[in-house]
Amino acid sequence: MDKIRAVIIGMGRMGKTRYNAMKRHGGYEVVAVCDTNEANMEGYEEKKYTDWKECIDNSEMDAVIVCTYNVVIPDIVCYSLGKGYSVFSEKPPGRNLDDALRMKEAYDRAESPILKYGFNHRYHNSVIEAKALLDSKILGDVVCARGVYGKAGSPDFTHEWRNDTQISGGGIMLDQGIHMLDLMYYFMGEFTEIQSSVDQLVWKDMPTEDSAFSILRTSDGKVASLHSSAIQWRHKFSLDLICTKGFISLNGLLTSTNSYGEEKISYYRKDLEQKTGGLGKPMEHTMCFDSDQSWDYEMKEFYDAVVNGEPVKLGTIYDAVNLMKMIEGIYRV
Amino acid sequence: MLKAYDYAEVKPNTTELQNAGLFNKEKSAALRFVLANPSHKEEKKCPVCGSAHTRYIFSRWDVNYLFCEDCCSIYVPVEDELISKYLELEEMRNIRISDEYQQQAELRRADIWDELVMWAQYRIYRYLGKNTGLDVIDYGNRYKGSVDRFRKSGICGKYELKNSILPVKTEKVDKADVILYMNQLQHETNPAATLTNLKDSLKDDGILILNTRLGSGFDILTLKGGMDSIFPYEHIMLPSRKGLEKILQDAGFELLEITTPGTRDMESVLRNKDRIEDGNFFVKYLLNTADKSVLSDFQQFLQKSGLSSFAQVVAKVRK
Repeated sequence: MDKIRAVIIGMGRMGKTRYNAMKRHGGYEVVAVCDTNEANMEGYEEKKYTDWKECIDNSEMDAVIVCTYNVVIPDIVCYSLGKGYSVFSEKPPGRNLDDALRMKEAYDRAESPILKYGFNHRYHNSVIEAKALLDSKILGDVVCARGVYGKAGSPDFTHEWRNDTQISGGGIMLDQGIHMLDLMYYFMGEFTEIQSSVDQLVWKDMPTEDSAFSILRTSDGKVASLHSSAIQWRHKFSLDLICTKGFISLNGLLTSTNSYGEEKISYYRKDLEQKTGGLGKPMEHTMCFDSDQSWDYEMKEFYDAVVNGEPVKLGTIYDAVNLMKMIEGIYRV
Repeated sequence: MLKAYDYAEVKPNTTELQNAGLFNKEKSAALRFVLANPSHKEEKKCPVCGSAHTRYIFSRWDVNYLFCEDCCSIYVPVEDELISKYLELEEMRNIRISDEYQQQAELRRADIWDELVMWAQYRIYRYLGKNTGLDVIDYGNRYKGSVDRFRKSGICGKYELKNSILPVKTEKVDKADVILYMNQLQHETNPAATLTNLKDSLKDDGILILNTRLGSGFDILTLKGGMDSIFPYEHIMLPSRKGLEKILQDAGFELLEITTPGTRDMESVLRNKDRIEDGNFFVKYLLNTADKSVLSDFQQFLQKSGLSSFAQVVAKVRK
């Protein structure tokens, strides 16, 4: 096999994003698209379905790309794995830990399954650079982190599907904060102790939170604070990583809306002898990025897993379960 | 290709990179050589892009520097043999291998080398997934302090120093994980051909780390012939950023990143502001009115925008 025949279930914004990344890759043949809203499929020449099961049952293909609302993700993932198909699914991995565990059971039952979840932030250039910098040990070991991921909100914010718990399972923390949590988990490991404050500070007439503050601790004592906010009133991404010999800061993120600011990573070494600058102002290096290939890198990794038999490295079912366990911890407190 | 812009906030540079007395000796040696060995090269085409659209930009010691209208590189048309002879100039070699020269370099460049080694450790890890025990070839490094730092950094398993004036014994490396090609391009009459040859010494998945002065930098395009640190035949090839990309492409490399982290353009222009051409009202106005923080911000803007006069490159062999 050198081309993956795939169907995309869910042709909203994420389905279209994945479709475009698959086309750019060149190793995918999209054989069908599916959405309950036919308008979302207008302009696409592939076979169209409005029922996901019918789409899967009637298509000759190798992989299912799941880009639906959270509530149906587990059903589609489990069904597809049961049929022996490779699966790429958008985050979050369902609405809650039970959903994630159900998908893990299906994964465990399947023969040679390939399942990858889309956590595209790990493939952003600033994150790739931060990971290399940490792994190189030039700045020592990361000991604590501070992350803020904030949204501006919108006029219809309270009515968005993301804030309908029946469909989404959670609010801003599950929808967007999970990316920041995933990055902290990626850099620092699993958080086993969690304190949090999950609140409706401004948007009080919706069932989900508009703000989640968390203090997280790993079993080996690393500490992180995370603020996921729908009341930032602008878009903001900021992650500081404090290491034993230096500091890394990620600020801004290149997205399709270009609203999170320039994506950049800054770092400096601890310089108590003031060799590189004045006290409190060591020489700082900054790199800025002018392109976002995260979707392409992610679809390439899935392709390499399906076609070349390479392991899924990021966004595994184990990552998914761990993340949902931590999300549940944040919500439970 | 990943494009990144690397900039640094630094304390004001109070130390010149060269000791004035030694630098004058180097320049005097070069001047004597240039006067005794003038170039008669007829071919004026740009050695970077081959364009015939070139024009005079400035002269130094009666040697004309040309500017390529197409790729914006600056160069001196000069015969290969003359450059080979210049690079073997005994008077220059004796100055540069002297204890005094090496000690002064250590004094003035130690922090820069430390940062360079850290940067190399980072970028090597970024692209190779490891940064220790590697086979490294270092071309033309003439500073003992720099050589020592690379050798002690842990990057090198085997380290070979090639084309250097330093009497340092090193191991032979057939194929390198990393080739260091620092400040060497400035001597090249045909840079793409030289880099093509370097490829033979690089492993298939190895990387080239190159740094060079750029002809498209703010200081040289502002000061032109008034830039004291540029002189023939020490600097005969000053590619633009665009030209540098072309050189690497022509040599069969895939550019992984190019940054312009030079921190000294503003300082250099400020120091030589009486040499700025009369008609350059903007820069003169800027220098006369801007405070220190504006000048520092301007330098950061140059770095970020690829407009400083120093480039760092990481490249791999194109497959």
